Amino acid sequence: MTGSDQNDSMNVVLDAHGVLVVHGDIDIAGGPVLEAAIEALAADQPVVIDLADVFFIDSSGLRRLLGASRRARLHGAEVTLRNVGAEVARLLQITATTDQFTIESTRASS
Amino acid sequence: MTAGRIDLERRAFAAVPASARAARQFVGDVLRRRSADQALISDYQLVVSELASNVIEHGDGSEMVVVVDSADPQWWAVEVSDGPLVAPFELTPDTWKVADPREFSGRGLGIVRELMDDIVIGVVGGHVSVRCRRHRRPPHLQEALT
Repeated sequence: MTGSDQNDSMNVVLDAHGVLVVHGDIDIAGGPVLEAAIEALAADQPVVIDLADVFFIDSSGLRRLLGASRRARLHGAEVTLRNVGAEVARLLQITATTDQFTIESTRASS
Repeated sequence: MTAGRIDLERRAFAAVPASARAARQFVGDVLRRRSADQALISDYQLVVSELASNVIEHGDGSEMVVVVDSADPQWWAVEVSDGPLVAPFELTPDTWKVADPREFSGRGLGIVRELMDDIVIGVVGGHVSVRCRRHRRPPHLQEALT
């Protein structure tokens, strides 16, 4: 089953492969949208989040990703980040949280 | 007085989540017009997003004011307030310090601390205002100028 959550500045689509594809900024406005999409997934399933179309994230967004990571680990699963751009990578580096995720792939900045 | 200064731009936003993006856009536009490089603009946008989110989450819900000050050729400075700025945005050498971690904690503010050189937190008329600045040139070039 596929579906989507959205607000004015971002949306999250669950694609046919079970990947959460995020479009837009993950901030105080977009974070709750991402969180809702993650929580709609089965807790014991691996979470894959495609960030190819994410060019901004702050600590409000990171909080949601870390929440997803904690939830997944509690159930023996993990969160994989796909197509991580420089903006997301920089925030993970600044906050020393890179090791909370599996980074599957990166992409060049726009 | 700060009125009319072309090196100081300020804008008020509603203290709602959508304003974090608008505040980033405002700061990006100002710094771009003033020929800041993209890496620096991205860092300032992250800083302003963190400060704006703080106001949106913890302010009184009325208003948020963002100021970009480029008066000093050595520094870019920004200020985010949880209400109308009641004090002039004056920058003097003795104004700046590294804010005490005890009054400046949390992951978001830790990011600000990581990206900025100086941070000042003021409470004026019941409104909290955070000012921060970073040198315009990277450290290895600052030394060459002195």
